[in-house]
Amino acid sequence: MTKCIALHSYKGGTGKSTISSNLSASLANKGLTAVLLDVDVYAPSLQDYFQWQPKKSINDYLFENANIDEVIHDLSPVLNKFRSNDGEQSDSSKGKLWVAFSSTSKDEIYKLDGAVRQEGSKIQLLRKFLMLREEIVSKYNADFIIIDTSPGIRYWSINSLAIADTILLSLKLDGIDLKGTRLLAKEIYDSLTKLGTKSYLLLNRAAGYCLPPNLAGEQTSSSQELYNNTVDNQSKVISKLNADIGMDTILSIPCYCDIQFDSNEFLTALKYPNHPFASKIDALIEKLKTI
Amino acid sequence: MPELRIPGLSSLVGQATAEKTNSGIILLMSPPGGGKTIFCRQMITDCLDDGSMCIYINSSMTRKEYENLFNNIADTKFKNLKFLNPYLVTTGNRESYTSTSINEPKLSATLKEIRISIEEWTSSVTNTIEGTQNGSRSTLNNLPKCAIILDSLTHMFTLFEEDKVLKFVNALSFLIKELESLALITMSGTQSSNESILNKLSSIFDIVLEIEIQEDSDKIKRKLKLISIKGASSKSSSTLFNIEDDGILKFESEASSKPKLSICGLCKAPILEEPEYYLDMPFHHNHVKIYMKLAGAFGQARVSDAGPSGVIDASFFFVDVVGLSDPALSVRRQIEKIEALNDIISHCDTFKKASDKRVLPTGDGMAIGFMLSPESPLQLGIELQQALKKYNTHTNKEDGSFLDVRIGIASGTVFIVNDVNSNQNIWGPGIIFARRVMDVGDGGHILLAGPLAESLLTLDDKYKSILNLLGDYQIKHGQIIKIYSAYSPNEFGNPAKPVRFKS
Repeated sequence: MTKCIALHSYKGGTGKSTISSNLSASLANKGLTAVLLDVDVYAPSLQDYFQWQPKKSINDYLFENANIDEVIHDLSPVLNKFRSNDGEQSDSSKGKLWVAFSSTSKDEIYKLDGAVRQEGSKIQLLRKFLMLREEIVSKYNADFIIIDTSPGIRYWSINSLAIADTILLSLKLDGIDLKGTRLLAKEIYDSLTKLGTKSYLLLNRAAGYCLPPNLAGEQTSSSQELYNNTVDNQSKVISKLNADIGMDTILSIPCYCDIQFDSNEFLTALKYPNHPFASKIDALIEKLKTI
Repeated sequence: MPELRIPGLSSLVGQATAEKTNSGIILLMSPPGGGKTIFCRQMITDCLDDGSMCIYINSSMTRKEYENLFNNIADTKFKNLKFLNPYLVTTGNRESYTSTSINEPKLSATLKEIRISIEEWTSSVTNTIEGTQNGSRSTLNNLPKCAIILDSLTHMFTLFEEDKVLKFVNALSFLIKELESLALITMSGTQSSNESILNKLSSIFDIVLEIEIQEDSDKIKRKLKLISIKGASSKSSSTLFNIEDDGILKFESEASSKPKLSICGLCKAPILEEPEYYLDMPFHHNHVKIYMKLAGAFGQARVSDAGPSGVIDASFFFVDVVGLSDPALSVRRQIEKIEALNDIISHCDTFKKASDKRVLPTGDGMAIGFMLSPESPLQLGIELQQALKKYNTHTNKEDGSFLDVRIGIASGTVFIVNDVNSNQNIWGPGIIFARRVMDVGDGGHILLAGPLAESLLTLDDKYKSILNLLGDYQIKHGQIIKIYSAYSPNEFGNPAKPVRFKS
């Protein structure tokens, strides 16, 4: 049975695209079939992760200019160029990664935005969007559909959440994100979870991996105490958030500077399978398998 | 293979589903005078005719009354009908009392009689088939079935304690499953008056039916309604029937009582299977929860803001053949032109690719509604005219074979309606508007209503070079509209101003 997972967040820059592309690629690397949908229609970025220029996009499918087979691209062969030789390879040949991209064309983005403002075409687009999921389930024999959504409370992000079985709410632990997450939980997630959708917090760029610059050199008892306090405080904030909004944390990914400040977006989990980030993605996969 | 038939079921759930209903428990409710017993007799007659065995259970009927009721059945078939009155059944065998949890000797004995009868019947039929030379495995798998008709549960409640009757029905359901039989159980009253019993037995009944009586002057009209199937409520299926003078039930023909197509409250597409209802709106089964989720997130009003079920906005292409009604043109030539137009349009890419279109033939042309892309009607108009150019290289105006069309394009609201054949179609102001625009044009014109043309102009710069404003035009009822003409010299369209425009 296909599991449909949506990655969502209150605001942008929380790592949805990085996690969803690495998650999908890792699923394929483990011999599973994953279909990754870029529904971040206003700011699509998955093309950079896979270094792929699609001829047809989800936009074409929604406007009936393309059928499902034209917009779902088989990127399984492409993954080879990202794979490290020292990673696990045993099941990779059996796995499949299919990706449907959103158009990066300004005109196409305007067109889609304009169409959802007209009630007649809006319902037709929603209908095609529902068909997209149904066609993937019936034709692609996918173990997982991973949806990279638009952040916030927007038309396409809500539609994506509605068709998902499980939602991963990605957040950083800054004040705006925490406030926004509480808002999402109350305004949106509450009604979805009552109808059977499972939702979890996915903490990204949490403290606990890189030492602050003043601690990187000589350790002092006061600076160590400061660091410990930061991690402790974060832990308290997370516990309170979990309790307040009734959502468990599925995974906490620390802030990895080597990923954060790399000039290119890439599939770290494949390229550096021994990187702790890859272990985190593996842990996420194991948890998603049990949901 | 012999079939167990429920009278009128094919009209409610379709032939295919009715034919598959060969096992399970069906509840039939009816107010007094609705014809429950006659319904049972019809089912028994049909099943016996098909070679099945039937057991008729009635706790208020004597054997003589039973024989009178079924005196319409020939002796050769009557032997395959067994009568049981639980109140009069012999309870000499103590084993039957202790072998069930019903704790009521007569009901336990009735259950045991049912089992013995079915097993004896199955055994005798098996022996008969095995005795023949072609008693193959497939033949044995397709043994005649057995139907149990319990008429009625209401009588039983007057003779036995309620919880014992409920246990009896529950035990009967297991027996039915085990022996792959079919049971029809009747009950007096309606869905609302029987709510408490229905709640207790809801998981047992595969199909719940209700007879509704309508008194129309002197004549009584009876309607068989499908209340639920496999636990899912249904509000769309019903069929009228009459009890003829000879006691035979006559249902409305399947075509006239065919359930209307429903439109999904979420995706607004037709529902081909049995719809699921939420807030009185029909849905595809897999769309109910998504609708509820969206309603929770956006608010009920915003999810439903595409209008009531069946109302949509679309863009329309209206075309007709110019000069088709010219008396000098033979009917054969007229038909050739219509067929040529249909053929050319059906080969246009835009027409072929648009899966969400609705086509309405209009006699001398057609209206095509595109539910999604506002660009499709104009694109189709351009493709059609380019194809006509090629087609007309083999025609000439003198012999009337030259095919000339005019095209009107507009957008607006339409309603999805079920036509006389129960096919889905569209009708409404959107189509009428496109027709009015087309009527302004002459041969070769592709005319667009202002609002649609202006939205195309803002959508893509490429339209600036082909969409030309003709000006305001007064159509019927004094309505003034802006009209644009789409043309590109020597490629498509007609650069000349329409004659009506000049006047």
